This record gives sequence, structure tokens and C-alpha cells, in this order.
Amino acid sequence: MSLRDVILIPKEFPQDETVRVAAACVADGDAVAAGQTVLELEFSKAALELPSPSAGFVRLLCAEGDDVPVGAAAAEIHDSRESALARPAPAAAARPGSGAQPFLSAKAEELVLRRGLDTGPLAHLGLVRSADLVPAEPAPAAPIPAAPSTAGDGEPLPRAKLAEIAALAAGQNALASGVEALVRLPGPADQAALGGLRSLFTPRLLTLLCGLLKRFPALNGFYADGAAHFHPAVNLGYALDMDLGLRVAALGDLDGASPEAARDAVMDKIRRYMRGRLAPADLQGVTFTVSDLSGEGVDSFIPLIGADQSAILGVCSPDESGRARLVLRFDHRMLEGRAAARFLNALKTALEAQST
Amino acid sequence: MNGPTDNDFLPRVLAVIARELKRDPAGLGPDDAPGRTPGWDSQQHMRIVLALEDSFGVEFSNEMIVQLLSARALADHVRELTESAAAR
Repeated sequence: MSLRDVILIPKEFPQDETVRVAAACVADGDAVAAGQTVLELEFSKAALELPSPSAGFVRLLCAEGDDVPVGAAAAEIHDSRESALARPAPAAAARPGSGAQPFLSAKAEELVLRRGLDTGPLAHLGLVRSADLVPAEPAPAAPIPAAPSTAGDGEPLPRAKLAEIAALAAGQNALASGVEALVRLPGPADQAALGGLRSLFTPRLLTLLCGLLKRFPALNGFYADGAAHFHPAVNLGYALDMDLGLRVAALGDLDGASPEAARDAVMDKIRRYMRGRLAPADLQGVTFTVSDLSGEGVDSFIPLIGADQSAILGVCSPDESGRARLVLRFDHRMLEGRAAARFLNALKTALEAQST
Repeated sequence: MNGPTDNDFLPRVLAVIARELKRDPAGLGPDDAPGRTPGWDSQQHMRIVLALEDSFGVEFSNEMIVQLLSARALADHVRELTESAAAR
């Protein structure tokens, strides 16, 4: 009678240091089949089921509502019910804060390796996050007392929203600039692909963007630690925000795709988004994002650049003459305004070439 | 055989549309459409199509989603899909 498998919390999204256990689908000592869902996990961008890798008897190491570090053991599979139930209590063995060696988040581990930091004094924390390793900024000498708030204690934001804020708070937005151009949308190719539903999105725009990003690699990369990083391939992101939380769906490289194929790529993601079935693979690795608010009646807006990206394209609503504003917001550390303007003009020229 | 304006599915399709648009079904008719009916924009159109798929157990192709742009057209297509499934 012995332990057969340990089920670890997978690392699905780079920004997640912990994952919330949304539901335990089995109880200690339950028999499980290979592939049977043991836990439902709530990552920042998606909910996922965690299956058992083998048949056996389960021992849970976490409970509903727990925030479990990525990489930590979530459950064990034993070859007998007795073995599963005979294990020591999980709280003492595996949970953060138990007095064992501290678990390092991915970012914390990177910091420790890069700076040669000693985590010994932090062992009591259980889970060490990057923030635990970086000294806090000194407080201002004479802080100005805040006025009493009349807004109450505030309403806690959902976990997904907090992750979104963390991703958008990266430095690239603080040093972002923008250029804009008016362009006639949609062109004939879009109209053919979209029938009468023309405000849904603009497929031709997406395919042209993928081709242009290869000519302007600074817009398909990101700045970090004093260096310009370039993604080896284009993975176009399409922002979905239909009252179910903001998600950026990864469409891949649509360069050369027909407008109908681009339409299908977006609509398939919209279907999964609306049915709550977006998987990590649907969201990962985006290198450039399009935020299309053309159906919302806006003349202009300021899109925010996502993590590990240097730019985002905002699509505004067409005016009465059929011209819509495109807003390219870009990280000024990766390129200058002139290069961004050339990119946008190249896009405009290509789009309007479809109209003639 | 029902004609295009005599579709038994139309009242049920209108009920689904009304639910998605949060409207009174009595205030909707076969000519209501995206871009013409208040609140029925492209996003709502996708919601309506998915709700129709769930309600009638059918699946719209992407090509049809962008072509079926009225309550009557949606009801006719639901009828076609349902009859086609029954014939198999």
C-alpha cells in the first residue's frame, strides 16, 4: 500500500503565483479513475479542471477556497483507500506556512537566482512571493493625512480583475505614446465575410496586422530589464469584453488567411468565451492585441498595453462617412513615434487598398 | 409545409430574443433585427444565436450567423436545422 501519484498545481499563466481551489470534486479516500476531475481550479484567466493522472484512491491536500501556490501538491493518489486515509494531515505536510522550506513563486525564484538572495529568514512565510524579496519603498517623511472616505470599505474585486490590473500595471503603459489615423472600415473583403453584421469585427484588419508586425518587430516584442525583446512569431490577441470579464483571445498568426478564416478564428473564440470554455491555450502567448470598440459608438479611446507586449491597436466606431479612427498605443522604449506612425500608415494604406 | 412567413418556430424564437434583449416578447416582431432594434448589436446577436442553439439543440455555422439578420431569418433557419436533424 503506497503513494502512486502526486497531483501538482500546473503553471498555466505566467502571472499566477497562486491558484484558488474553486471546488473539490472528490473526498478523501474516494476511488478515482484516470482522467477523472479531482479539483476545479480558478486561475486568473480561466477556470480549469485538474484530473487524476491514474486510477486509485485520493487524498486531498487542499480544500475549497484555498489559494494554493503554483507547483505545490494539491492531491495524492494512493493504491488503496487505507493508504489514502492513513496519510498525515495535509495541513502540516504540504500547506504554505507549515514551517517547512518556503515555496518560491516563479517570480520569486527568478529573483533569488538572479540576486543570490537568502530565503532562510522568510521560511515562516510558507509561500515567498517576489514582493517579499524586494524592500518596500520608504514612506514619505510627512505623509498627508487622507481625507475620510465617504465610499465605505469598498467592494472586493474579483480575482480575475485583480490579475488584469496587475498585468496592465506593468511599466509599458507609463511610458506609452500613441498615434492615430482615420481609415475607412470595413472594406469590401470584410463586408463579404461579415454579411450585414459589420460592427462585429474587421477580419481583413487582423490578417493585415499579422503581416505588418513581421515588418515592424519592435511592435511584436516588449521591453524588460533594459533590453528589447522580440517575439519569434506573431500571435495576435483579440480583446473580448462582453460582460463576462476582459479576456484576450490568442488568434495566432493570421497573415495570409482569408477574411472568412479570420472571421471564423474570432467567432470560435467568442463562442468559447461566451460559453465559459476558454482554455489556457486560447489565451496564452499573445504578442500584440487588438481592442475593437467599433460597435460601441466611440470616436476615440486609450487602449492599455498588455503584459509582455509593446503595443495595442484600438479600433473606434466609424463616423457617418464610414471612417473609423485607429489608435496605436506603443511603448516608447521599444520604438519612436515616427516608426509607429509608419506602421499605422502602412496599415491604413493596405486597408484602403481593399476599398478601391 | 410552413412558408417563410408562417413559421411555428417564430414565437419561440422571439421569446428567446426577448429574453436576451430583456424586452417584452409582445413588443418584438419578425422584422426586428440587429442594428434596427434597440439593444440588438453585434454582441447581442452572438448571445441570441448561442441562446437559440441551446434552446433548440441546433448549431449555427459562422457563415450563417453573419447572414441571418432578422428574427424571421433566424426562425426560418432554426426550422431548417430542426427539420434537417429530424430527417436524419
